[in-house]
Amino acid sequence: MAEEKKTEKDKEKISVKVPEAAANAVTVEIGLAPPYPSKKISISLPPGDPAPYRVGERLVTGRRRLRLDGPEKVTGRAVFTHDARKAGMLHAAVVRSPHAHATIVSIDASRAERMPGVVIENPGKKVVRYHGEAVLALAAPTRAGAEDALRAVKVTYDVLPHTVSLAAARKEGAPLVFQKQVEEKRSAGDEPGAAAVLPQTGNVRGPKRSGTGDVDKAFAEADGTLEIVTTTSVQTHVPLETHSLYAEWVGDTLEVQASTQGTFSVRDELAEVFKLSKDKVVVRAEFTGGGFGAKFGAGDYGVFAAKLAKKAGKPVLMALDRKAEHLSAGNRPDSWNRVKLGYRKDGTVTAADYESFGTAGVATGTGTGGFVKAAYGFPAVKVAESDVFTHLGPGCAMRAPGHPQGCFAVETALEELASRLGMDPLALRLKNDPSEVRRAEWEIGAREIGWSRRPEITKANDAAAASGSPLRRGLGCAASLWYTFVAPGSQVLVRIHRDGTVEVENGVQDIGGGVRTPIAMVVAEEMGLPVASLRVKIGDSRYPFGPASGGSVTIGSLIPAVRAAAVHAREKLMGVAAKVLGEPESEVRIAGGLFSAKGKTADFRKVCSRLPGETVVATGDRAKDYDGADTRLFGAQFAEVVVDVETGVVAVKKVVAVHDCGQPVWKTGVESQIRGGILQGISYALFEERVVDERSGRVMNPDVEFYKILGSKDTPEIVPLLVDFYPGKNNAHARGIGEPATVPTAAAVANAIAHATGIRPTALPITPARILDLLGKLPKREVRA
Amino acid sequence: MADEKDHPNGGGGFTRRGLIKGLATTAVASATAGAAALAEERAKSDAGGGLPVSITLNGAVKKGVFEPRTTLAEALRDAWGMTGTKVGCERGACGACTVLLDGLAVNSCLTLVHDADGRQVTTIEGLGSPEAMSPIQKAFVDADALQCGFCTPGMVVSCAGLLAKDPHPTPHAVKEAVAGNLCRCGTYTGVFAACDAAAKAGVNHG
Repeated sequence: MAEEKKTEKDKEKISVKVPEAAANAVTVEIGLAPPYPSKKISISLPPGDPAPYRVGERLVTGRRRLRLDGPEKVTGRAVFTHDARKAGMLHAAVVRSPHAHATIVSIDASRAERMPGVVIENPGKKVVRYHGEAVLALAAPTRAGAEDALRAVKVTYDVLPHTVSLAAARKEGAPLVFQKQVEEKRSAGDEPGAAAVLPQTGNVRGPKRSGTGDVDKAFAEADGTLEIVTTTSVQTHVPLETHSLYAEWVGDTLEVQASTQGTFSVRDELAEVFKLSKDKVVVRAEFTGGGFGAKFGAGDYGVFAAKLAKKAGKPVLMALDRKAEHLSAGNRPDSWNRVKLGYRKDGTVTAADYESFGTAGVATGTGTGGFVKAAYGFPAVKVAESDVFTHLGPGCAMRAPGHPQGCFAVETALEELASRLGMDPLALRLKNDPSEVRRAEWEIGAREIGWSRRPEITKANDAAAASGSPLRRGLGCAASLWYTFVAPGSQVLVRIHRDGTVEVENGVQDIGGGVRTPIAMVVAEEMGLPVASLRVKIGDSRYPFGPASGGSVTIGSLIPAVRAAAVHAREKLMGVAAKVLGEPESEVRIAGGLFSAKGKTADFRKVCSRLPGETVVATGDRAKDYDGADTRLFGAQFAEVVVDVETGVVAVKKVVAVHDCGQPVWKTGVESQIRGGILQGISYALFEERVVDERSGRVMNPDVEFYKILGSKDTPEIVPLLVDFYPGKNNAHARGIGEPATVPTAAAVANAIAHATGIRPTALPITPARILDLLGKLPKREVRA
Repeated sequence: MADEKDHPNGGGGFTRRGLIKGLATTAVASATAGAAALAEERAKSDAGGGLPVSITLNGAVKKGVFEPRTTLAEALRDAWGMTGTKVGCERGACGACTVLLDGLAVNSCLTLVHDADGRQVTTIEGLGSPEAMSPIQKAFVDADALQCGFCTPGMVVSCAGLLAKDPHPTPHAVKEAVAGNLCRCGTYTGVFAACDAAAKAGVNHG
């Protein structure tokens, strides 16, 4: 603390010495647009950064428009990593463990080695800790040839005892997954924050404790307490393009095409593994076929590809098959959550005691306590989170890590509380929600879904029950919470050519969000040019640094830098235009591709033809965040369902989602992100369940037939809505939207099912069997928890 | 199994009997010599070449020599460089590899290239190009019916197949037509809107 204070004082001294800081002071209006009240704050603009957009200033951004990457993607022209083809290229494949836990006694790859064109990379592993763990990699001239070679490799295992369930792994005497202390592995998809050193007992690592206020005192003073336990299943990312990496050595440079969420994180990892300087690894990632949190690093598969390519002296494509994708390439950990609320009779929650256990298999990072701490701002919260190791493939970041699980736990408890107190569930939430932004969202969403119909729906359900009809309708709601993380260091380059061509460069990848379009829109806004005329070049580590796409950081990190670069480029052109027009620079304006001053005009190309050099180059940096609104992203969602109480089948009819995305840049893309997050959330709520056979330790459904994900027939009507919000913090009021819609969807669906049926679902997925069980319609037998 | 007459011989001596005989040999080898030896044997037979195939691909005759196990998806992507058709699961569960075979949407990962011999195959590249998109492709862009774009070619082809035989499909028929196409980004509502818009535009999608 003492040190921090000293630093603050030093900063003050510096700011006194630098007079520009005072000159750059501007007033920013932050908050919701009218009719809601906003407030004016004074900020000191970072050097070189344009002043933030004022209310109503934007003409191009904030609107819907077609995505720039559309034509390439709908015609098959877009080249994904899976599509990398080059003469002489080898196809790689991996020998994987069929056992959950075993020592590798011997590997005989001699037959495979004799096959034509086969190269082998044996990392010399001694132990495997999960079904599907990589043992050895090889490459052959064809995919079929690689599969033949795989079958020719003989591995002898000595099978060891395993533990593959959360409950079994927690027990004393369970087979240990790790003998030593495990340090948390962080990836670009995690929430930032120091990895704590935690106690480890048996397979349990933790608890990691956090919180605020005096929970025990609050419980003692409460009118009542309520405790529930919820569980969630492992969810697999299932990007349609499996993890893949193409590697080619060109001289001493490693050239890579990767299906990744982080062009630069892949580059950095490969540079480290192969001890190369950053310029000697080139990573391209123009099109990535989905990621959802699982594709940040080079992965063992990527390192294998690069090693095999080196050995063979030929390019190598490693594309995981669907089974390997499920078993080894990441998942959202399962969870067991206990939440105890202290409350007053009027519905005010005064305290929450929260405990979570989860297994990420051989990995860490299963905590689900973020939501309870920050979603509603309960006065006293105590959180204890523990990871439990099992002999299963590593979990990793997945769209809002920990938050759908935590939201399901807390929102289920709130629903139970409302029911106990005889309160309307939305009224109970409003009672506990201090966020002005979310209060507006609750109001907008309730109107859109028709929340006032709820009592009538309850009556209609009663009538249906009386008449013997099987269909029940329900409305449910839940709050969303995420954060505005900023990946520092983003830089954008704008290059204007003498012929009027404008290039915009940043190394960022497109994982589906369609980032080219908002980049172009911002440049178009600042330079007065048509969006489609701009050449946006992304997905290459030779371009200026861009963020990894995870945790909703891309837009918030990148867009302010794009705007700064565009403004700097425009400033450089103004001088040229002034000369062409023969008027002072201060009089020159640009709009619609035309420079003008005092009634004279010159088109963009004409001005560019007079450039002093062949090109004008301008860059923009992502300045540090300045003052502004709460860094949390608030959202509110509503779901309407119909449940067949005879079959237990749920049909989600409609979802209304109201979110805060600051000032959206490309509204079409924002809405698509929200729709996608909701569909993944419904899928999580109703269908997705990894099944592991406890005896063999094997995953029984590593595929997309028996690991069910939502499809066309499960898709409801979706209404994505945004609040008009100016959060400040950066020059574009830019915020991300990738995660928020995923967070509350499952909870809202569960609460709607509760309204429809009177049952309280506490385990995800809410399958027909679970619904019938809760309705008491299943014959008595043990139902899997 | 389709009738033998549905699979006209490409003129290269490939017959169903030959394929069945090959499978029988495979089974014996597998039972007697074990997987490793079988694999070696297969690799040797690969080196010996395969059997000729001739298909009409996007309107032009394509010929090639493939071993019997080669799928249409592999032939398209690896031999003919048509990588617009994607492979997501290799077992007909995700639909990313959907192509039109004699106008019918099929999973090209489950179709042997020899089963396409003598038949018409239309891939995503055959529907249109970025410079000249077909109405359904344009409708996909207009409705933002795509995100990462990996499932998109299969999704577009399924819709094109539907519209060719049912120019004015009901919403249910559209959901049914793409029920075999998984999209993890969650673009289904856009796909429905795109199909609807293309149908309303009333252009021939064949």
